Amino acid sequence: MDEAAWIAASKAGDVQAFNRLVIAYQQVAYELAFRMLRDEAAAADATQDSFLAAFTRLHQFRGGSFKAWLLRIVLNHVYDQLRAQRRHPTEPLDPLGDDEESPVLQIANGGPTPEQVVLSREVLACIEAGLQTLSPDQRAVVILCDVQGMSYEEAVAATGANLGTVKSRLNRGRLALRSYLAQHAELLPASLRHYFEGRETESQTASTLATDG
Amino acid sequence: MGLRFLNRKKETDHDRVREQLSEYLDRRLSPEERAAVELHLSDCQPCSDELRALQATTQLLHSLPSVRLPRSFLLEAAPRPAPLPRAFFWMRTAAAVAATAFVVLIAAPMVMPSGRAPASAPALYQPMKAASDARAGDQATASQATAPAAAARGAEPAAAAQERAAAPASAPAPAAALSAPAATVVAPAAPAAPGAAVGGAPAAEEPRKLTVPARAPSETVAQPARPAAAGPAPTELSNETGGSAPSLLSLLQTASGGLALLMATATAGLWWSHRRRNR
Repeated sequence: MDEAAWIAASKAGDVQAFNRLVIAYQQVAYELAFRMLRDEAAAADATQDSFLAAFTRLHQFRGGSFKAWLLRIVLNHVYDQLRAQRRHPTEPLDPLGDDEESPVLQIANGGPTPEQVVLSREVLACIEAGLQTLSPDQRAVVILCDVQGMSYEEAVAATGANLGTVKSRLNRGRLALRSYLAQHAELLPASLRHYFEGRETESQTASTLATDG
Repeated sequence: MGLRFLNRKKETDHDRVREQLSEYLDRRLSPEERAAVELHLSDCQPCSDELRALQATTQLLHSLPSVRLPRSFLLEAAPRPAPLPRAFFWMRTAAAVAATAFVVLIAAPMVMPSGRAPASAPALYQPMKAASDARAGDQATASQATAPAAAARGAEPAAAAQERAAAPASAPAPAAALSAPAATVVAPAAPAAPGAAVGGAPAAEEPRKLTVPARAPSETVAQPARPAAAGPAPTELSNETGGSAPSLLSLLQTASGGLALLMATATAGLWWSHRRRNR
């Protein structure tokens, strides 16, 4: 997989080479669009338009993270859709992800890279709903960094904002989501609930953390 | 007093640390900043709780499963504009060639000194009469008309004219008819023609009749200017534009002009529709 070669060929007009980039990034691009818009049709439109725009504007890509450059185009289209949605509000579809129903939840010890846990449908729905309460700017950064695992710098490239703004949006977005989850802690499974509840359970939190390790 | 100060400081610390929790979690703080945060956290349960909650939140976000793709987003056709169809290029060339030919065919008669007025209509309608009227002059022109080869060669005009005049009318007639245009323009043949023309006048007349009737009268009319005639065949042809039968020149002019117009229109139409389709 030589992304640089594909990009070079795509710049020369090779659609098949560009399609290899599409294959590599369509999941990430569509996910960002869908998590921002919560509407399959709107997200699909934004994604398709973004890939077309990317191919046409490939001469503007001068190196760096192609993924971030592409996602910036996706976000632009997403914002366009959001503005259109604000003018003509439509009922968003139910967020149905490819989740697995599992009551078993494991919280791993927080390390440099948080490990994934298996989430139930209820928790997923809660998180998705919580994301929707964030402002689009905060939501975008939270999705890029926490859902898609991008670095601060990649988020800077994808949003066009400076580093300080990205850090601020990420922190406030996370805190807002944390508040939302705390408000709906009753929906969360027991093993998670105590993370979000008030100080009265802080001792329990500490002990649970110790045993879960 | 002091306690209030301390409380206010702690509040400021709370805010500062709260703002930095994400960076602390992501290990983006400098060693000094991290030490300051950890110092605060060691003495502040609420902030510690906040940190743990934030960590759980990011872990939950990180655990969100992939979203199912509703379809493929592969590009199917080249979004770049399609190239012009090949027909466009040869049509354009044909239009240019035809237009050039048209211009040449129109301009040449005007540019070339032929000594013959274009479309001398009145005389054209009396080919026979004019021929008989100007027999003397006609003989000279007739001999020239019947000396096609002479016109071309310009070396033995008299001999050729005699030869032709002596030969049966049918044979030299078609030849004379075809080359008559060329014959008249040959100035060198003129002086020698009269001599040989006398003998070949009767025979010459027939070919002349067979040729475009307008020939004789136009020749007669332009006789004084004949010595100056030195143009190519088309010059002769231009004299018959007003004739009852279309001359070769006018046919070519019309054909080239029409072809140029047709090709130009088709080229323009092709280019325009191509642009519309690819906008």
